[in-house]
Amino acid sequence: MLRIAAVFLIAFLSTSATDTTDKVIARQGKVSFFSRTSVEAIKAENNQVLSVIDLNEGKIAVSMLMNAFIFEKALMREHFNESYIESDIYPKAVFEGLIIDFDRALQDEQTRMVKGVFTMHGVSKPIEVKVKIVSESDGYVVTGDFETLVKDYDINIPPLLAGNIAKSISIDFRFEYQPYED
Amino acid sequence: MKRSARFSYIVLCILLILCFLGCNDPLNGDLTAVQPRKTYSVAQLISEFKSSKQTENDLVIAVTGVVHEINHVNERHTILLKGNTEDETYVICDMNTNHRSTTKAIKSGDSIIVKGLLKGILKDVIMLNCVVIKTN
Repeated sequence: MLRIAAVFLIAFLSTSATDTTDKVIARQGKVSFFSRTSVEAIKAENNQVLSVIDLNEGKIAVSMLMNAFIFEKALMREHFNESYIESDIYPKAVFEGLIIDFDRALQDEQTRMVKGVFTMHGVSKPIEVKVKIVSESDGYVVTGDFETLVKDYDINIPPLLAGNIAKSISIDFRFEYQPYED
Repeated sequence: MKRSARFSYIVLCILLILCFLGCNDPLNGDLTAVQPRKTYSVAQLISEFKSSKQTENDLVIAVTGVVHEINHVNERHTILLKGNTEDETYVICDMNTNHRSTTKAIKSGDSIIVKGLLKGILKDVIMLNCVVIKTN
């Protein structure tokens, strides 16, 4: 009888890990950006973006290495890191914010607004992003997209290349969170 | 006329050279033939980052460690190496797609040596374009 109870207890703990943990982590979040002009389309993705959510308070933090974006061409990566983002001086982009009205108990999909501050290239800007949060057996999947202006982050594009880079960049993200004990 | 034709020819040559360099940067592709600058154990590498001894990134290095997890998150082939530290800090190796057959044979618990382009640390150390150079 005790053995059966133990099996049930282990099964319950393993299926409801996100009910008992306070934080979830995504170590391999994906952030992609797109720049499309009549001259050139540029796409890059970073697949090792870190994010942590405090499930009780709805706080969310995201951090990414700017030199870990993968481009189709090495020359694009070089321009991005050395001329635009200056990743040796500003190696990380970070976001800290709050998921408004986040309900950790909701088993269905929930669409929520995330408000916070995004810092990139040494410039911090308040942003609001709509996200879709899907609860899964072992965590959450958070997806969304937003647009941002290059000029908002003091990124200087040389006049000669101005036609190659869009003024507004589209950003997509996807994070798979798992329980985390820190 | 002759001068403008020569100028156009020079510009075309420069563009072709730039395109060739842009598309064939060895650090953007397969690192099989690139000699690693240094070999670390997972614990050594993490310790060097945490004590701020390791500040140089975009270096090709080799890391010896035990496979903690193999996953395909974001449709990427990724190997997480673990050290002997108590905290959950790993080395995340984003594997080069040309070496799928080699990496398919690897499983959790295997001791391996991975070569890759060191990008830096967040919670975990991040390496891109990784290739497995030895399995035990």
